[in-house]
Amino acid sequence: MSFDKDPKKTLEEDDEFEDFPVDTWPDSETLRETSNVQTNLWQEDWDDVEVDDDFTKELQAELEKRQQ
Amino acid sequence: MSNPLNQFFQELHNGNDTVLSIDIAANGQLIANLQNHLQNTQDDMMSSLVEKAKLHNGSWTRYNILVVSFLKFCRDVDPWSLWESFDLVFDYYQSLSNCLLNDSYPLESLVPLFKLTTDIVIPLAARLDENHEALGTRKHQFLAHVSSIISKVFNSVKPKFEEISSRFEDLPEKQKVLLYVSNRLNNIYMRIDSSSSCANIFKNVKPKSTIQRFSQFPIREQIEYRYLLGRYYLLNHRVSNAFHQLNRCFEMLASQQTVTPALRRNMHRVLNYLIPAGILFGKVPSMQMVAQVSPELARSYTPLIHIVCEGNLAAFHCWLAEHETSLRARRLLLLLLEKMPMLLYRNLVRRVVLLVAFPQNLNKISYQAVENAIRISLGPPDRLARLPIIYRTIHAPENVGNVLETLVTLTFLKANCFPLSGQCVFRKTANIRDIFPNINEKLVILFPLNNEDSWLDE
Amino acid sequence: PAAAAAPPLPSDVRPPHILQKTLDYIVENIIQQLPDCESFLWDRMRSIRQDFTYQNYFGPEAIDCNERIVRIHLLILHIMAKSDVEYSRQQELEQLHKALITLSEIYDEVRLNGGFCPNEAEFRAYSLLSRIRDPEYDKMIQDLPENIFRDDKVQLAICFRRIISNSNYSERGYIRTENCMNLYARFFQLIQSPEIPFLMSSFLEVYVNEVRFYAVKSLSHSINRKHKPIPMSYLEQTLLFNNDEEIRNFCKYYSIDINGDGVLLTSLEHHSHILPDTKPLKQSYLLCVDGKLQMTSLVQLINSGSSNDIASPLLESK
Repeated sequence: MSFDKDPKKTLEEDDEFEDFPVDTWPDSETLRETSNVQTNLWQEDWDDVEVDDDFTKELQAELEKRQQ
Repeated sequence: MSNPLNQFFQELHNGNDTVLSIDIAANGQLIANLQNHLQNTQDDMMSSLVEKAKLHNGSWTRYNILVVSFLKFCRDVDPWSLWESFDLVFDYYQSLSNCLLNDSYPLESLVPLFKLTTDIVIPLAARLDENHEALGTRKHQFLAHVSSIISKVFNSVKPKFEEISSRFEDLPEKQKVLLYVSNRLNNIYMRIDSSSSCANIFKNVKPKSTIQRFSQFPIREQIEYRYLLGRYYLLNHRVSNAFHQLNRCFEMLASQQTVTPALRRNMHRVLNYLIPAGILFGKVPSMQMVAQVSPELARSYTPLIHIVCEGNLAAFHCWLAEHETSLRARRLLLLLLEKMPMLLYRNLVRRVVLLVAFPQNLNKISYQAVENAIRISLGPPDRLARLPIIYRTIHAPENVGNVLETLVTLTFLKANCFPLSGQCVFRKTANIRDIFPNINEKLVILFPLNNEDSWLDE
Repeated sequence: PAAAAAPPLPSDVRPPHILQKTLDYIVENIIQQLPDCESFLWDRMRSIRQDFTYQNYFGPEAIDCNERIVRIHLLILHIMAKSDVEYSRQQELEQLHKALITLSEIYDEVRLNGGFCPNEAEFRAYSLLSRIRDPEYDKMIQDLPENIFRDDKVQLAICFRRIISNSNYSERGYIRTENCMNLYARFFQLIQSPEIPFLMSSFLEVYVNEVRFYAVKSLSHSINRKHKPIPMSYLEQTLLFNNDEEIRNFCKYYSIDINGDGVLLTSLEHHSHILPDTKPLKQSYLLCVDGKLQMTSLVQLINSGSSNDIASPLLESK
């Protein structure tokens, strides 16, 4: 997907899975193990995301100013 | 040279139903021979030829109708253009599916044929629908017609009366294609704006299945099933369920050893929905990982991660406005408009506690401080003035009381509100996590997964 | 009731232009007699819609009549809430929903045929308010063309859906969803604003009781158990009660204690605004909405909007 470039008309089709080859899965045990696959897609949580930006600085300055 | 029609009947007598295939690539020789042979055969003549052949002792009327429709197809098809011959194809497909409805007939060998034909018919119907204006048909007429045919086959799969089978290979053919059929139907429903029809399919797969475990179905179909189920949940704003199915789907794709371009494109398709679902579910996607699959998605969502983390409402609404067309097309816009602000507020109020209360060792913050923070977060009024109403009407600094109450009632903020004195009081602690617990953990408790899906994970 | 009855004789079914005239007469002569004529109106409007259905006619007259009937139902909702005359709110809402569904179907059909209905956006906005918690409607509105989606009324209806979304809503058969805000104060702030037209405000009044209930629920769950009583004046201001008596009725209905200092919110024990085996609380009305009504003429209110004749050539070419 590229944002705002897809004409809506073909989007539904575009969102449909296309045929893809699958690795052979000898037995169901192998399958179960995939639930432990670490894809690393997700980080810890919001509180680990460091932000040090203009918005935070503005917030801090404003809050301090109004407290005086 | 022997009569190709007699040869054809002989094959059918021998139980070789593959000769009934309309797949020109695989069965073209036979179709061509029959076309030559049948050029001057009228419809009624054809019917009586089939009757005389006494296929299945002549006792299976629907089978005879199928064979006739196949022969008509052979006689009249333009081999260079299935497109021109779509009525022949649909007649044949209808007759074929009718044979599958009654399990007391020997339909096993027709099921693979049905699957194969479905793979030909759906793209054909989609192409016809794309040209509905020129053809003078309704917008989704052909796909809707195909879906009604497939859904009859789906409905004819009997709920559990057969022995539960431990091996996929031992299942009756209709059971083997149950997930395939469900996926085809759900895909069509999504495409023809009839996603509410998916509910009935998702509800009935398990009762109809005689398989021991979901994981015995072909893995490709399992993956697609979860993808469709996840998208369906997201359409219904059920974030935790959507996340679970889409994430599992993505994991299964990502665990494949051979990464082909098609596989990667499918991962991209899942991420289109999984990323927003994950963020709403209180998780933060790793943009390095996303970028490996799709640099565009990473580019689009990286700013959003920062915006949510900061609690920057003005920037959030600008981001939505910027991506409105594509989000709307995926029906994600209103979902995000409704459900993202909670996270922004949580992160914003958390920032206020860290900046104001903690340095002074206070165990409370004033509504006023939070209201100021919201005002800063919303930016100067003229910043959003040019955006559509939905981006500048819902949120206001005066919402401060309702914001804090909502966070507290959902246990995202462990505190008590004092609306009269305008204070929000929490316990004395130096650990911010005591006041703002992990959102995802809270959401997992508050919005448990649908029990009806638990068999997918057994 | 009509389902069991025999279909009418063709001679008894009125042609489209007569149905339109009938409605003209109702608008010019009958609606002024609300609230007393409510049941008469209900019956006449239903019969107009039925006559269109019998003929399977969906041309411009049908669009026009259904549109005006929706507006009349919306007007009735407010007038009846304010009056003491007995009426069935449930039946009013039912007919209103049916008329909206008919309109949506016609609009879809006209669009499929390349046509255009000038008032579609207004009624799509009402549809969004009619099933205010059904995600199916969010899907519907996102599917529609940009000029509908960007219409002011549609945009406002979308906002109200978000404002009262509320993850703590509870009703049998309803599935709660994640991260919904309960911005009830904003609801009452906006409904007072002149930006929200009367008919829309009147529809929103249908939700006032439940918005108040979930406001109280939200407060009672977020304040300290030992919090002092909340003064009546505080609730009057934030939840826009018209007077103390309304608050007392409300608290009595939901078994919320009141003492000399005010309302003891933490005594609330109900989780849903619907109490089993209990007659629902009478629908509320807001003085500010009544004020909006006073500023308009009824005939103009109902006959507002553009003529649907513009849609006709395309419809009839079918």
